[in-house]
Amino acid sequence: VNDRTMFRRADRLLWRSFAAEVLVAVPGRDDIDHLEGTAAAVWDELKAPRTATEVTDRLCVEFASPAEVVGPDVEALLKDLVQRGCIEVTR
Amino acid sequence: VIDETPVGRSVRAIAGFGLDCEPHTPVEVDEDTWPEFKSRLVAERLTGLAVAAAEKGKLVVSDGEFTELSDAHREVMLWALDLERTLIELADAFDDTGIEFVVLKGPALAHSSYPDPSWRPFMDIDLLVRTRDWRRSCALLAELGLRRRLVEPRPGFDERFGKAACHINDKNQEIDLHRTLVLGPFGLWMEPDELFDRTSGFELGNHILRRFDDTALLAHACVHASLGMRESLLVSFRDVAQASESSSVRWESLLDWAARWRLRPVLRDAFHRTEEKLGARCPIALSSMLDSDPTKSEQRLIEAHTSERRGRGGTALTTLQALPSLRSKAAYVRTLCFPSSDFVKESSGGGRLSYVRRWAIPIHWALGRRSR
Repeated sequence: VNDRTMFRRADRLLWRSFAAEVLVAVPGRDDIDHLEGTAAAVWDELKAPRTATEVTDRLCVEFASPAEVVGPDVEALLKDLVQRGCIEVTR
Repeated sequence: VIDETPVGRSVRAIAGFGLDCEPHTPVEVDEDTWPEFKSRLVAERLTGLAVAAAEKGKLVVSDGEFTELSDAHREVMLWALDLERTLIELADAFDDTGIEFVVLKGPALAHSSYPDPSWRPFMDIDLLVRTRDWRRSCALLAELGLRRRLVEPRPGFDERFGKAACHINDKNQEIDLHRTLVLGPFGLWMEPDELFDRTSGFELGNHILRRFDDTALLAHACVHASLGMRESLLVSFRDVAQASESSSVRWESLLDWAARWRLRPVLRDAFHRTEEKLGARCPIALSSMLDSDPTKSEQRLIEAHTSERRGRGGTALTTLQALPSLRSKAAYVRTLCFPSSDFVKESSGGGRLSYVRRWAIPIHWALGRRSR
């Protein structure tokens, strides 16, 4: 994973978005992930493939926060979402 | 019966949210009636529409009420997503076995008619298979570990007179396997195999599943809203209004089915009740049919499903009248009066008086006829 690594929503997911939250069902798992707040915002940004920096830049504008605060959160979330199978690395 | 209480009016306004007929003024609910309003939204499967209405300012709620509404909606969405996961597993199994199927109602409507799938909750999965594939489909579901809720009343009944069989999996999810769309005379007159030629695709988790095309989807929404339950849920009427908004509906096909499958009273009942409850205007393309008065026999047929006659064997009686030959009528009566002991045991909880209870309805009919 580097600055140019692109992330996108995984292909075979089932999901619903409402009231600023997202529910994601990954095939082959029994549980369903519940994304709220920054996690839901990251999910929303990944409707198109983006790098971690691109996601961070967009959330900085949305939440009016500096990149030093948002960046580490975004990186941790992307890592977690990849592990859960909700998103995948494209290149 | 139209509920004209303030809560009833508010719930109906939410059922119309996002349609051309939606009220201009936002829905406001006071603190005292909020609990009843919320539980009615849940019962009528309108939480998705209510959340969307609140986000658009068409439903005025406090922060606490919005949280309650979102919590309730999350519960039904979790259920729907898990059902969709099961649906994809079933789709793979049906495809591997070479059995054609069409996804009916909830998931099909949510992903094709509604602007957002979160607007349309659903509680089970309905699949239509051809009658010739019925046995193989039941066997496949059994092989996958699903249990049929109620055994067949007598061998061969399903293919001849049945509509669907409910199967349960280990998550307690219901999968209704259909071979036709409705029980009773309309189910006998419709030709569901023809509807297999009127399908389209929808995407679910990178799978393309078959659903009815927009015209057949609307026809089925009407059948379900009119005949599905004695008092159908508001979401069923919303489905009718929602499916009517598609520009791909071929109205001449609906008129053709109405004539050939004798669906006129069903379409008339569904569209008129949708207009009464939601304020959605009946389609102009059908106005000559919808404005005509129902005949007495059409009225009787609808009442057999929608009045108290439904609970007193009304559907069975009209089925009997609609069956084409004496032989099939005799087979139907024989099954109603003398179903297998397993069926009686399962359907009644196993009391000794089960057969007597079954015979009470035809005896009541016979005595009723004599006293007239």
